[in-house]
Amino acid sequence: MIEQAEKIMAEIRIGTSGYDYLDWKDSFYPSGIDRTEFLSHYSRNFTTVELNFSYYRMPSARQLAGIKERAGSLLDFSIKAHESLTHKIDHASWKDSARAFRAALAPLLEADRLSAVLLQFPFSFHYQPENRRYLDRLLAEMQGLPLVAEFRGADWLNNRVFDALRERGVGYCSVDAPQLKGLPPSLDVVTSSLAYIRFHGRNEKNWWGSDAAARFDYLYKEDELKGWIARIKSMAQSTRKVRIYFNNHSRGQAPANAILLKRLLSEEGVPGLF
Amino acid sequence: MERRIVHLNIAHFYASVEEICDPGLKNEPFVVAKGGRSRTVVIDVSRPAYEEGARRGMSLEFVQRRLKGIRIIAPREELYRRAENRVYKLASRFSPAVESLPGGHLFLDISGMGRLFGRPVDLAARIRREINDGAGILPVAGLAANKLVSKVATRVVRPDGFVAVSPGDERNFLRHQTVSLLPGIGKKLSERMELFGITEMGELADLTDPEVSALFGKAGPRLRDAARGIDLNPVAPHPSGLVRLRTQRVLDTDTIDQTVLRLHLYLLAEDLGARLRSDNLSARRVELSVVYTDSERVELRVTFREPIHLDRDLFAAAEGLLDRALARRVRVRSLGLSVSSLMLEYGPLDIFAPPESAKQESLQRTIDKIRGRFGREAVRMGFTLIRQPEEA
Repeated sequence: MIEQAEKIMAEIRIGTSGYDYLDWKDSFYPSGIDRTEFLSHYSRNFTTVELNFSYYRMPSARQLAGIKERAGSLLDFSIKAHESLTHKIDHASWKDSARAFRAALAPLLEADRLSAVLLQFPFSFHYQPENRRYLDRLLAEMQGLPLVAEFRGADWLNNRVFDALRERGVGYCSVDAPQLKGLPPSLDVVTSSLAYIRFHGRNEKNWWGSDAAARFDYLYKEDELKGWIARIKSMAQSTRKVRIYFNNHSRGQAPANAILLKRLLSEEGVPGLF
Repeated sequence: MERRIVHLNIAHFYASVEEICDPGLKNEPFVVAKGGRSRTVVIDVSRPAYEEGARRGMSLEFVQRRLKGIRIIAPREELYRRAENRVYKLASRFSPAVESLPGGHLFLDISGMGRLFGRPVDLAARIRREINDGAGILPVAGLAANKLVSKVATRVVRPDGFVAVSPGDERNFLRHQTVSLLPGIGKKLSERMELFGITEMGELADLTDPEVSALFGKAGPRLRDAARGIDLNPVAPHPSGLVRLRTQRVLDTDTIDQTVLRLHLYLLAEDLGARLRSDNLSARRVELSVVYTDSERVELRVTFREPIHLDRDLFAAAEGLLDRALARRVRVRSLGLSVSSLMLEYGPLDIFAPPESAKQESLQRTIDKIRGRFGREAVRMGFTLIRQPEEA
């Protein structure tokens, strides 16, 4: 049979979920660095970042404009939607939150520096008619933004949801997490022109019943990340953008793994803006 | 030991092979079908053709009417067989238990391979990649505790994708999948289920024995168990070394009498059928060779999507070939029948077998049992008693 190498056309970028961690000092950040210098240091090492403070606090346009300025001209952004849109939904006011969130994105949109808006839904957001209707309305309200959905509940991972995401041009977020009962299966499917991957670590022991620091305390081994090369390449064959973020943020493990994955992809000859 | 089974499904397999041979076909809508015949059905469609509505099994005439000017590629079975072998060899590097099914489907049992190849999820991704790099085709991959769930998993994300279902999460994963994604649930059964308000596998899985039996008869409980993700069938690898079974009869007197020829043919089919079943094998290909009085030889073959092993099916295949072979008005000296593309019997599909097929299966088992005890002559098909052919 004739060999056929699929061309990878997608723009692949790798970064971390958040950058403002004090416990990254002495590992990723130099020990003497001031916190205000974190982002410029980060942007010398990575070409994309997932902003996640926006989940806890509604961002403002001024704030995001400031981040964009401090980040230099090469870094692009994904941003996690505010909790009022995914975790603490108030049916009387969520539309106001959606509008406020969209308005805050203006500086990133105008500069063409926004790669994705991540809608991460919790385990408790089950595949029920009421939630399905809400998701449909939310996606309509946020239409025009580069949306990506991450489901922690396995019940959302079905063919009808994938078809619905495709119809709406919304990306599906693939995750790497422990293979534990109750967690969604590790699943890659491309539903829009953007493929999105989040690495949460494989800390099986501390996954349930621990705080975020313990849950995401995990350093991927080279072999484990090598297992993803094929998956990333496959996704890159059928989409335009691939964004990959490491969320195993304890003690600078996320940037260490992001750098390792960049190296592995480069060694494989995968083109990308790493 | 935890069972971990990988299913690899190459969507649009034959069309993909054609694209590899002619990269100009890439991104083009085309169908694989034997042109120039009435009642021809489409064997495979390219992905762009699929997106435009063409489907396997549609009549070529219908597709041509709907998609004006669509390109038709004649099937090249030998090429597809070579491609299947290549993919099979690539997969075999990672497990001794690889089962290849027609149309670009493979099952691998990777249980207990952790020490050699790392975590199952990484190994499954690696196998997929090796097939992409080595054969130029990217399969959809599903990893789960059994064949059934891994197969459904690939159907959930196809034509592209990768799914690893965690051990113990099978039923959870299947719960909200469309019921028609279960292997063996075709259009009619799926419509019937919809009539009863069953659209998701979970709704079928929740039925009790009496409920499911009342709705779907004897097959009901087994269908329900499938929707629960229960499947104990092992990956059935190819029997090593055995590639073909062959039998031949030189006629006592050369003849052109079709009744006599059919009679010999049935005995040949019975002979092969018994050998296949005694080794728990099935065959996808049946070949007939006819040698005439003037020593001219005609060979014909037929390949099936699903493997066969019943005398009745083998004879029907051979009879069809004989009808095509007897184009000359010359007496026949010998008949040879062989079966190839052998595989160990594939279990899970039988739970969806229509009642008629299940009956035939049961009848065949009974005949085999009687013959095993009292000899071949103890039970015979009526028409073979018309005239006893001489053994060669």
